[in-house]
This record gives sequence, C-alpha cells and structure tokens, in this order.
Amino acid sequence: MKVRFQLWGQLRKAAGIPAPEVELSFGSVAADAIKVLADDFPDLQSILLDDGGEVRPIILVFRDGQQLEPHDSEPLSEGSELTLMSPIAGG
Amino acid sequence: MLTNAEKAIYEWQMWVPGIGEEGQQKLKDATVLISRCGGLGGLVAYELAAAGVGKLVIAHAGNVKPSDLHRQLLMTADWVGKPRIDSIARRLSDLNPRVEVVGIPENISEDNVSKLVGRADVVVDCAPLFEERLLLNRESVRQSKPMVECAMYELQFHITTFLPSKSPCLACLHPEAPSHWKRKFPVFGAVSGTVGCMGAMETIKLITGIGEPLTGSLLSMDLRDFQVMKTKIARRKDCTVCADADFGAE
Ligand SMILES: [Zn+2]
Repeated sequence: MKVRFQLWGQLRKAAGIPAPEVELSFGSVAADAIKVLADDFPDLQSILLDDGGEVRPIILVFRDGQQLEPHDSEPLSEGSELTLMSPIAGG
Repeated sequence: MLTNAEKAIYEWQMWVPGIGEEGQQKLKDATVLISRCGGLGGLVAYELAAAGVGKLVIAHAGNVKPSDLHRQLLMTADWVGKPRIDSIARRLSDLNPRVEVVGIPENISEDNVSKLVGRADVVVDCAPLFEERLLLNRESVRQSKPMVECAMYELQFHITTFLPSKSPCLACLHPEAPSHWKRKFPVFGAVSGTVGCMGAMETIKLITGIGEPLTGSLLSMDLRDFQVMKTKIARRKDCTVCADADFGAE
C-alpha cells in the first residue's frame, strides 16, 4: 500500500521534495513508514532516526490533523497521509 | 484611566468589537515578557508597543551584527557593534513613548528566568535556542503564565499558545532540544515579521479576552506556496514539565 508524507521544516529541504510517497506492507504503523522514508531519502536519516534506527522523539508526527506519538500502534491504510515536522525555533 | 491623548491614539483598535476603553485599559495594565527581540520578537514588541501594552520586559543579549539587519527590524545600521537592547529600547520609545520598556541585556537563563517570568502577565517565546525555549516553558508552566510560541525556518513558520493546566506545553511538543538544529538557518525577514505580528495579535487576544487563542493547536504556514495547516498538539503523558499539572479544565 502507498502512504504519502507531507514534510515540513528541515525535512522538506533534506528530502528535496515536499510530499514523498512510500510503499508499505499492510499492517504497517507510522514508525514503519518513517523508517522506510528514511531508507528512501538518506539525507533524512540522521534527522528522523537515532543511532539505533528508531524514530527520534523530537520528530512531530501528525495524522488527520492530530499529533501522534512516534510509536502510535494504529495501522496505516492505503492512501493514509502523515505529516512530519522537525522542530524549528526563532532568532 | 485612559487619557484623552491615549484615546485619540488607540481609537481605531478600540472600535474592534470586544475592545473599547475596557480592553484598551487591560492592554495598558499588562506586562509582557519577550524572550529575544530579533526577527520574531522585534515584531512582537513593535506591534505590542504600537497597541499600547503598558510594560514590555525584553531579554536580549549581545551587540548588533550586520547579519541581524535583514530581519531584526528594531536594529539599525548605525548601531552595529553596540548593544542590541539599547537599539530595541530606543526604537520602541520612538514609536510609543508611553510604553515602559524594561530592557534586560541578557538572554533567558537559569539565573534570571524565574524573576523575569514572575514580572509578566503573558510570555512570548522567540528565542533561537531550544535550551532557552524549554527553560522559559518550564518556568511559565511552574508560574501558570500563558506562553505564546513563535518559530520559523526558511519560508515556513508556526505559532501556538500554551495555557498552563489547559493545554499541552512546549515540552509536550519538543521533549528535548533537537541535536540537528543550527543556530544560523535560512530565513527571510518577511517570514519572521509575519509570525511576529501573529504572535503580537495572539498576545493582545490573551490580554483582552477577545477571539479564540491557538490553545492546543499548532498553526503552520509555508509562505512559498501559502500552504496552511492547523493541527492538534497532543499532551505527552510522560511530559517532564506538565504531566503533574491539573488538567481538570481540559
Ligand atoms: Zn508538557
């Protein structure tokens, strides 16, 4: 199944495109999708994943307008859209 | 009491439903703390001074650099090499001499955060470093002060409002300082100016009670293509700052 991402902050710049899609097996959850995205876009890897390959807790994940815990256990479905944001500040 | 001169200055905004003399008096009686007064905070401060907020406590260290000038609109070219806080106070006083500006030539730190937050009715977070932001958040939650949160990157920005015991806090959104964040990053002054003005309006709403603040919602916008997103922020049950707060009103 296909899942689409909307990328914000430094993630969009690192990926080079704003809305990449990834191919996932059925039953995948948000963290699985993020790991596949990091595989597809190596410049995203160090921002999205820690040294152990797990999703960093600082990454903001939204589905249908609601923030998810990075390890949300709700399975994604065909056509799901996840929004990812890296923290930004000011100055 | 508002003077006749004040009524003449603020009459256009006093015509806004819900403001009137009572709302203007609330602004006059209010104290706002602005953490860093650069691209974001400078516009927050400028708009709040223009609107007649009585006292602005502004924390910002360092001297003006050439690379400040494209976005930090309270810094001027003739002030390069001199203290930023003096330029900030001078520019705000030129705009509205009725506003009391308390310039602190320091950034938010463990040493000053408790005292500075204690002086404010509303806190506005515009700092470039997450360590400062998270410290300001911790103290705002501890002292039950509302905090308006503004941030930017490239042509994007986001804004939200944290109300202690009624919304998640900054540590729910960012549980730790991100290691990949760099102090210097791409941005236009028009981006910091846009979100700075929105932060000022959010502060005015909190003080006067008009409208609906962005409590628990994150408004994000990309000025490259005007994409807008409004999302709900989740409260982390294990949040180290607000987990013990009373959410009875949630
Ligand atoms: Zn929290």
